[in-house]
This record gives sequence, C-alpha cells and structure tokens, in this order.
Amino acid sequence: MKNHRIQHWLPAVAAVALCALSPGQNSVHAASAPPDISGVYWSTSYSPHIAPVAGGDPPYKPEVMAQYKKNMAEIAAAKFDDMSRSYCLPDGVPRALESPYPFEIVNAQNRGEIYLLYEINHMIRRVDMQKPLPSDKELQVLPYYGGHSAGHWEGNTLVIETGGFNDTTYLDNSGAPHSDQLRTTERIRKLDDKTLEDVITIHDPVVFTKDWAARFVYQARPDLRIMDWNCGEKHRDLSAVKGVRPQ
Amino acid sequence: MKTPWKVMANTAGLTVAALMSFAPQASVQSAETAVPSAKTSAIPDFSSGRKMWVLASGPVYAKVPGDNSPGPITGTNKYRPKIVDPVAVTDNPLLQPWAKKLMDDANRKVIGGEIGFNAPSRCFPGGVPGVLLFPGEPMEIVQTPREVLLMWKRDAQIRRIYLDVPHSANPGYSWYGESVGHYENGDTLVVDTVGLDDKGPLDRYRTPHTKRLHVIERFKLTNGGKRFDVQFHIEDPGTFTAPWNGLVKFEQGYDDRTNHWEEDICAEAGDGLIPVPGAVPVPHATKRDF
Repeated sequence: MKNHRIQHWLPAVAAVALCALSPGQNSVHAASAPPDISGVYWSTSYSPHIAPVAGGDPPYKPEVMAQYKKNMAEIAAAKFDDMSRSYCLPDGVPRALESPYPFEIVNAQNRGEIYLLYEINHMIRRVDMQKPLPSDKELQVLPYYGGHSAGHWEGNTLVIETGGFNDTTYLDNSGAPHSDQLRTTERIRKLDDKTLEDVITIHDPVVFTKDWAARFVYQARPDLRIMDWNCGEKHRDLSAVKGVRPQ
Repeated sequence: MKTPWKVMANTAGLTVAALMSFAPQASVQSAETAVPSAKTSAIPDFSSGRKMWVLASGPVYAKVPGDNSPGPITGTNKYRPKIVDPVAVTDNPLLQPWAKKLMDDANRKVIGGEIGFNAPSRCFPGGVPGVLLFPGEPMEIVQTPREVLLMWKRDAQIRRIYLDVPHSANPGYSWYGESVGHYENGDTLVVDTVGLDDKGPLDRYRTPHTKRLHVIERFKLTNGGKRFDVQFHIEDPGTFTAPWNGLVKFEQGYDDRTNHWEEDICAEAGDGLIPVPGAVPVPHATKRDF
C-alpha cells in the first residue's frame, strides 16, 4: 500500500521538479514571458521544391508521386493551372513558407492571437493562442487555404498546429499535392537576434507513407515593411533572393 | 432630398471642437502641438472586447456635425429601384471640372444600365479612406507597440499604421499609402496617410483623386470602447477646390462564434471568378513574378 502511494505520486513530483528546473519548457502558461519574435522576416534564398530535412523526395505514395510528376511536367510546359499565381488565391501552408517575398509576425497580445501575414497574395494566418485546435470533424466544416491554427509556447519555441485545410493548394511551387487531411506542426524560434527558424512537420496519410519535416530559415528585417499586394501588378524586387530567376 | 446619412449625422453627437483639430495642412506633428493634453502613454483599447468591428453607419460618409463645408460627396436615390449602383451628385462645389466630368461620365453609364466600378466588389484593395466603407464586413484592429493593423475579413485586406514615426522621405505610391499614427487623450488614434496612388477608391461614388491625396483620420472610441467613430479630413488640391471632412461609425459586431478574423477570399470560385458580364475583371496575373 505504501509503495503504491509512492508510485502514484512519483510522476507528479517529477513533473513539478522538471517545471522548476526548466520554466516554460512544459507549460503553456509558464511564468516566464515568451520571447518577442514579432517583426518582418525575409528569406535570402528560394527554391520551388520543398525539401525533406531527411533528404530525398517527399515520401509520396506511388500513385500520388505520379500526379506530382505530371504537375511538374505541366509547370515546365507552362500549362499548369496554378490559381495562386494567376488569381493570387492564398498559397496555403507550407507553400507560403517558401515564398521569396517577406512576411510579418504580429503578436496581438490583447486579443490572444498571433498573426502570420505573408506579403505574397496578402495571405493572413491567424494563430489562436487561447484555445486548442478544434477537432478534425469541426475543422472540416470550413476549410481554409491557410488552414486553422492554434499555438502555444514551449520555452522559446512557438509551436503552431494547423489543420482544416482545403485541398486546392500545393505544398510548394513545384506542384507537390496534398489532401484535405493535411496537418502541420511548426516549431518557430529565433536562432539568434537576426535569424528565425521554422521547422514544419507534415502529416497527410492520404498522400504520404510517413510524416516528414522541412526547415525554413529567415533573416529578421526590421528595415522592411510589408507592401500592399494587388494581383498582376509589379511587386517587390526579388533580385536579392538567391534562386529566384527573373521572369 | 432627404438622405439617410444626414439623419445619422444629426444623431452623431460630435463636437465642433473635435472638428477644429482638423487644421488644413495639419501634419501629425502639428496636431500634437495643437492638443496640449495629448497623452502618448495612454493607449486606447481597440480590441473590441475580442469581437469584430462592423460598419454602423452604412456605406456612405456622414457629414461631421457642425461642419459647414460642402463635403462629403453625396449620391442620389432618384434612379432607384431600377438602378442600384450608386449615382453621385456632381454639382458639389468641391469638385474641380475634370473630376466632375469624370463622375458625370460614370454616372451616365450607370444610369444607362452599365455596371459601375466598385473596387472591393471586384477584389481590388479598398483604398484610403474608401476601405472603411466595406458594408457588413467585419474588421479586426490589432495593436502592437510598433503598429496598428486594420484587418478585414473580406479578401484579407490589411491596412498598416506605423506608430510614433515620421513619414518616410520617399514613401512611394500604393493602394493604402503610407500611414503613420499616434494615440491622443487615451481614446483616439490619429492617422496621417500620404503616398496613395490614384487608383484606390475614395468612396462608393467613384470620386476620383490624385496622388496628392492626404488623409487624416481620427479613430475615437466611444460608448466605453464598444463603438468608435472615424472623423476624417481630405486634402487633394489636384481634385478638390477645398479640403473636406467626413464621418464613419463602427460598432462591435458578431457573437462569440465569429469573434475573430476568418479567411474569406474574394477571387475564389463563387465570387470573383464567376464572370459577371460587363464588370471589370478581378485582378489577375498574366505572368509569374518568380
């Protein structure tokens, strides 16, 4: 009986000890304030292909890989129906993450939200910092291009869960397909004052054989402001972004 | 002609004193010196009790009570119900001849049954102050120490107002221009906007403007933060014979189910991409940027 009681209390004691040792690591509502990651960020390089951190191609099921290759062939032949480029419909996630245009993180503290505001196609992602992500069933009612997001802090890392996507976007600019069962988890943190990292785990059992992750790195650009976007107009000069080919 | 916005203006309860702070050629700096009681430390809360804001005054500008100038530009209902597009009253002495001619031409087309151009309904950015007239479209105000963002649900349109900084030496021209602002008296956000290109709508009457347009808006909380008014001051010596003023009112809208920004994309199928014969096509790109 005595032993049983000790076993019962051990995990709780351990958890309390852990929290005391590393405040903020295990609690969303940790006393220590999360870091300020708000501001404008811009990647210095661009690739149309989203690359798994583990290397190789995204782990598509064979039949989906065939569709992906068909999309790539159509892009090469300029025959691809890409509504994010022609009518500026939102790029979705993670495609917006590899945009050669800058984006802004806004901490709407008095509303319990964080916004990710992408210059490209003036896409808005709202991250609810107060409530967990609704169930898949609830999210299916109103699918978004940018998905529905909920976030919390784990120490210095902003963790964003996103689901409730529609299936009309692509994972990248090379036509990588996904289903409406796509779920992503992003871990966003400052590597130093000038650098932001977003590691995104991609879960979509309809098209992939396993979950996989991609990594994006951005430079903090306090000197920049996000510009207005109207489809078809001349936008920001991208010549400084490595990998962007002039059109 | 009794117009509904005149009725609303009568109940607006705003003071001439507030209007007087719209000094012609006023800059943000001079407005500060004109209001010695300004407390930059007191930050008014525009979070709307975590609801959204919606237009409370209809998609037309009201007259600022006590303002004897001829603004704002108004419309007529005499072609209704046959013609539902707004038809402007163009004999307003504010309009320079070229602007009046442009509006008369547009009026003739609308009265003749053509579809008048309405930027937001065709998925174009809303302009300043025109974006304030999205009827029934909820808007969220996000305040940070550096900036204030006005974010509309409709088409994810965003206006950014940079706080406590001067205008750039060369702000360029864009749909929403360059807005700088500061807080006053614990209840007001004062916004000064330049760098507006000549494409953004000024109102729903197709009133034109030039790139010399300068807009000063005062967002003032009322009713304990449950409403706010925007009194604005328009200067454009390229279009108008004198500066003029107008008024828009917002109120808390929506319930707890829709208390925040939601995605609503104008140009997707079901809205902009369903062709409307005779209407201006929605914005689209014929070549890729990258």
